Amino acid sequence: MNQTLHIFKKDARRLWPEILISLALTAGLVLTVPFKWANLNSSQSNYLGPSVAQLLAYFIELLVPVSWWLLIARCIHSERLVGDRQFWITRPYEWKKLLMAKALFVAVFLYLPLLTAQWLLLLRAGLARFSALPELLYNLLLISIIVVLPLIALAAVTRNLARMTLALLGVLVALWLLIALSSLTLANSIAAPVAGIIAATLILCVCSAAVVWQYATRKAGLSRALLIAAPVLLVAMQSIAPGEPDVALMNRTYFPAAGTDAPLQVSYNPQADVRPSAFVPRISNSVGIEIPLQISGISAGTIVDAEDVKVAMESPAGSEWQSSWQPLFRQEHAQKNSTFFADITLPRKIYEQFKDAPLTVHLNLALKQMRTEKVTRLTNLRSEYAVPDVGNCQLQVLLSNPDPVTGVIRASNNLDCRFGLRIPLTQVTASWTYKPCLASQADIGPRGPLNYASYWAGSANESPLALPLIPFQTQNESFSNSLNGGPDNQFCPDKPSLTFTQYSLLRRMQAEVSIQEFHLPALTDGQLKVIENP
Amino acid sequence: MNPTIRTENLSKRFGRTVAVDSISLAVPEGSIYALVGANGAGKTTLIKLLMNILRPNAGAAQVLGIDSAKLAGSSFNRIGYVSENQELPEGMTVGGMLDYFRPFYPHWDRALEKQLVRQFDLPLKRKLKHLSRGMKMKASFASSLAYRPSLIILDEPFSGLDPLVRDELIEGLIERAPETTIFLSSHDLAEIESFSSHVGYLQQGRLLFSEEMSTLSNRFRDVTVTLSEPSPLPAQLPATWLEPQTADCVLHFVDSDFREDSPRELTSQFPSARDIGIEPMTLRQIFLAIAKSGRGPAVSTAEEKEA
Repeated sequence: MNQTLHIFKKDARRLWPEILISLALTAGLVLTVPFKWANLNSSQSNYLGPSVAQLLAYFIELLVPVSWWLLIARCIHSERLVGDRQFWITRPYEWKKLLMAKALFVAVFLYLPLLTAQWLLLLRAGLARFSALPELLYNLLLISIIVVLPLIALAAVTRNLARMTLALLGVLVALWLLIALSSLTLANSIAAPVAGIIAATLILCVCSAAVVWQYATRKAGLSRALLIAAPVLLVAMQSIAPGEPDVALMNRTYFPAAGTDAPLQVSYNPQADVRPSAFVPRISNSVGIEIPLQISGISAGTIVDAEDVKVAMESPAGSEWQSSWQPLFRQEHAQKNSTFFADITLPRKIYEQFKDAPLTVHLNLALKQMRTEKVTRLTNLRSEYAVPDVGNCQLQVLLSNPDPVTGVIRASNNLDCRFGLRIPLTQVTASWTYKPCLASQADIGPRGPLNYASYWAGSANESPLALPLIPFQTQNESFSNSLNGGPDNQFCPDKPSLTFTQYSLLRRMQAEVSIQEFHLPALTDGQLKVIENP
Repeated sequence: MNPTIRTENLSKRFGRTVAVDSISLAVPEGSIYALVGANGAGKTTLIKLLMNILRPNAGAAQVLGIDSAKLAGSSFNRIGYVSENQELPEGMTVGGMLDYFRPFYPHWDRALEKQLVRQFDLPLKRKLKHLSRGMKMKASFASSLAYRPSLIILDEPFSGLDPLVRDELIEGLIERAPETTIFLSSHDLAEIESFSSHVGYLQQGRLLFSEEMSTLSNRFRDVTVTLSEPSPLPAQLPATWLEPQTADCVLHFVDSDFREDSPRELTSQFPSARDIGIEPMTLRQIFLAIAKSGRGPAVSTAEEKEA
C-alpha cells in the first residue's frame, strides 16, 4: 500500500474534529462574506455601522487562519519531528513519503476547501469572470508563503501545540520588535516593491528548506537556527550597510537615471508657497523634511507615481549622511508639470548636525510611469452593474431622516464596488450635480454645479505579501460631505456618472535631483505632523 | 558468522558528560544479548545510537550489516524496537494501531499477530491511552514481533511491570528467540539470567566486559580460604581477585578468572589452608562484586578472545 496515502488516511481519520472546524469556518466564510456588501443593497436607510452579520464575517475571516494553525499543528505533530521517543522513528517510515502525506493533507483539507470557497465567493460576488484558475492558484501561493509555510515550519521544529503557540507568539513579538527597531534606526527601508520580493523569497526559501531539512534529518537545532538566522542575517546586512544590499535589485527594477531616455525631469522647485519645511513625525528622535520638487515632461495619456526616495547629504566640512529608500505618500501626477513634496525622515541627531550648514543634497527617486489603457464611462446608475475588466459596482443613495429643526434630509452617494483581486491600477471618478437638498427625495433635481470625487483601486504592483483570503476587493466610498457640511452645503445626487480609468505600467525608473546650498528648514518647537503610513 | 550488531569505539557526549565511551562490542546472530548496568550507565544512549535515534560523536556501529547512521525507512522492516520510554499513538485503539502498522511491513504475519493478541490478552477495541503500563508494553511487543523481525532491540522492557506481565513478555520473547537476535537492556539481573545467552556490563559509559553468559558464570567463583592461623592480607594479590577481605583465619575474595586448574593453584598458594571453599555465583553476585570493586575482570572480553 502506498505509504503516503496510508499516513494521509490515518491523519484524516484521527484529526476529524480539527478538519471539521476548519471546513465549518471556511463554509462560514462563504456564507458571511456577502454580508460585508449587504448594507447598501438592502435599503435606502441610514448606515448605522456594521451589523452583527458583518461583524461575524470579519470574525470568521480572522478565525479561518487560526483553524489552519490548529490543523497544521495537529497534522505535523501526529508524527512530530522533535524528540527521541516518537513511535514512528523506529518504524519503516520514508521521510519523503511522510512529508508527501502531510503535504497531501494540507492540500486536501486546507487548499481544496479554500479554493472551493474562493470560487463560490467569486460566484456570489458576481465576479466569476475573474476566477481564472491561475489567478486563484497564485492566491494560494501567496497564502502559502505568508501563512501556511511558516506554520508548517514552526510545527516541524516544535514538540507540541503549546510550544508551537509560544514559538508563534515569539515570532510575532520579534517581528514587532524588528519593525519598531527599524523605525527607530530608519535603516530598514528597502524600496517597497523590492522589499516585498525579498521578503516573499526569503520566507519561501527559508521555510521550505527548514521543513525539508527537518524531515530528512530531524536535527531540530539546525532547522531552528536556519529559521532564525536568515532574517537576522538580513537585518544585520541592512544595519551594517543600510540600503546597499538592494542596490542591484533596485537598479534592475527601476532603471537608473543615466540609463533612461524618458523625457521625465524632476527638479527642485522652491516657490513662495511651497518652501521646504521641517516637522516632527510620529517616529520619535527623528525629523521630517519636506522638499518641494517639480516633475515635468509627463507625456499625454500617462501618469507618474513617485514611490520611494533616497537622500544623500554632504556638508562643506565633508560630513556625509545617506538614507535608505523611504516610501513616499501615494501621489499620482497626471499634468505635464506637477509639483509635489518629497517627505524624508532623518534621525534627529543628523538633523542637528547638518541644520546650520549649506548642504549639497542629492535625491534619488523611484518613479513609476503608467499609461492610460482603457476608460469606461457609466451613467444612469441605479442598480448593480458590471464594469468590464474591473468588477461590479453599485451606486446607492443614502438619505437621512429629516432634521427635526430644519427638516433637511441629508444625502450621500455611496459607491459600493467589488473589484477583481488583481485589477490594474484604476482611477474611479464620480461626478454629480450639487444643490441644497430639499425636504423630500422628489424635490431632488439636476440643478447646481457638477461635482467630482475620485479614488484609486487596484495596483500597478503585484505586491507579493498581500493576504488574499477573499478573492476580491471590496471598496465602499462615500462621495459626500453631508457629515461635514451645514444645511446649505449638501450634496444631493442626480444622474451621477462614473468613470473608470485603467492604467498599465509603462516603465519604472530612477530620477536624480541635486540641490546645492540647501539649508535644512528650521524646526519649530512642538511642531507636529502626524504621518500615516503611505 | 557476521555479528548482528557490531560497534567500534562508539562514543556519545552530551556537553561535557560522556554517556557512551568508546564502546566496541559484537552481538552474535541468534543470541539473546543482555546489556546490564546501573541507572545512568549509558544503556539507553547506546541503544539509541544503534537505532539511529541519536548520532554518535565518534566511532561507528553496524546493525544487520547497515551503518547505524543510515538506518531509516525500510531498514526497520527487519528490526523491532520496544522501549519503556517510547511514545505510542495514544489516540488509536490497540486494533487500530496494529491495523495501521501492518501495511508498513511486507512480512507482517497475521496469524502471529492474532496469536500474540491472544497470548497477551490484548483488548483490541480499547484506546492505548486508556491502557495500563503493562498492557501498553504488551501492545508494543505485539506490534514489534508480528512481522518476525531479524533483530529485536528492547530498552528496559520489563521495568516497573508486575511479575505476571513480565513472565508473559519473556515467554513471548523466548518463543521468537530461535529466529531472532534479541538485544535488551536491563538493570534487573535476576530476570535476564534466566534467558540471556550473552551479557555485557556497562558502567559510566564504558563497557567493562561482553561475553557469553555460560563463560561468565564459569569464570567467576566465590572463594573462601580458611587458614590455620590468623594472617594479614598478602601484599601481592592477583588482579583477578575482587573484593579480597580477611577476618581472623578467613580470607574471602571473588575470583574473576577461575579456571580448571585454579583449585590446585590456590592449594599451592595457601599450603597451610585448612579448607578452601569454591562456590559458583549468581549473575547478581557477580555484578555486585564487579560494581563494588569498581573495575572489570582482568580477563579479556569475548571480542578480544575472538580476535
